Amino acid sequence: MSDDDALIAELREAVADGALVTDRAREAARAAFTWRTIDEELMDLVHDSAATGELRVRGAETVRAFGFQARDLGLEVELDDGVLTGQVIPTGRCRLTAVGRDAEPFVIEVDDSGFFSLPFTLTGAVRFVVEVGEDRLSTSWVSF
Amino acid sequence: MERGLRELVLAARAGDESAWDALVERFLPLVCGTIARVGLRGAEADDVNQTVWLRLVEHLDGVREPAALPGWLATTARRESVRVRHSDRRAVPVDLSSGPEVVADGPDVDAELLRAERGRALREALDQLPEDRRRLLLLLIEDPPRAYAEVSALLGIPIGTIGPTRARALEQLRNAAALVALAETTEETR
Repeated sequence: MSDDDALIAELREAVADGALVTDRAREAARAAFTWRTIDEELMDLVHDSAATGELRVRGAETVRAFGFQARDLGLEVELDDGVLTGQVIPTGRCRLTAVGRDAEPFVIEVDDSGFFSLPFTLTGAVRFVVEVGEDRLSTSWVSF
Repeated sequence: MERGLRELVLAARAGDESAWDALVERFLPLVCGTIARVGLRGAEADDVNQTVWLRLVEHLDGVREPAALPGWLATTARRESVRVRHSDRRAVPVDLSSGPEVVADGPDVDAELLRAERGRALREALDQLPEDRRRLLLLLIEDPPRAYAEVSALLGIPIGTIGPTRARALEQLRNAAALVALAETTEETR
């Protein structure tokens, strides 16, 4: 192949790659900036069942589990067959909210031992917000 | 003159939305390309794209070296895509006896970065060409290729001039792409 033919092939690939960018993708990426929070402490994603490859399969469903950690607080969540279960560690009074990128936030009831379990139907990007007293902590965004 | 990567990251961190939009414009092809080549399309691809940019927003304050940003984006997009593929309920169940699938993203991420960089330089270079040369090249890259007679009819130019014009347009494209790439390297080592 001549240099010119090679360049034509490269250009074809470059133009095709440019066409992979949709207006929808651009809007979502731009809109992400409005979710910028400066005052909240971030809980990092420290454990992800899919990233570590330890996916468990029960029947036809896949169980997804995430672990988040901030300095003084941990959160474990697991989605199995449409039911979200998990625990806030250490236990104590707190308020837990699920925030969907495309849905209204909703409060998750946490019992005195820090456990919770509820039907969960949010799709797309989700983050969890834990409020303990005056402190407000947000997890990284994940999608189940 | 385009704003440098470092400047854009610092401005976005300070709350400048136009700087964020510029970052999106610059790296969206990298993110979308990475997601597409893991094999995701449609709603799944949109979800991953959204997650990647939301992660960047929260990660923005932690970016110490702006030059590392493209690598971070490609790695995050790839990992998130691989994860979604694994959890895809329509996917064939993984053979669990073969052990966990390793997410080896090193070489793939490097390939994506190179491809995105080169692609961006070529698309920018193409935009800089005179309109007639740009239109000619866009016709010539079509797959399957068009016959010169067809190109001649579409552009209203004699068949005999297509070959020489193609050669000159490609030469100009090559030089412009090299200049775009050079400007980028200079900016990043500044």
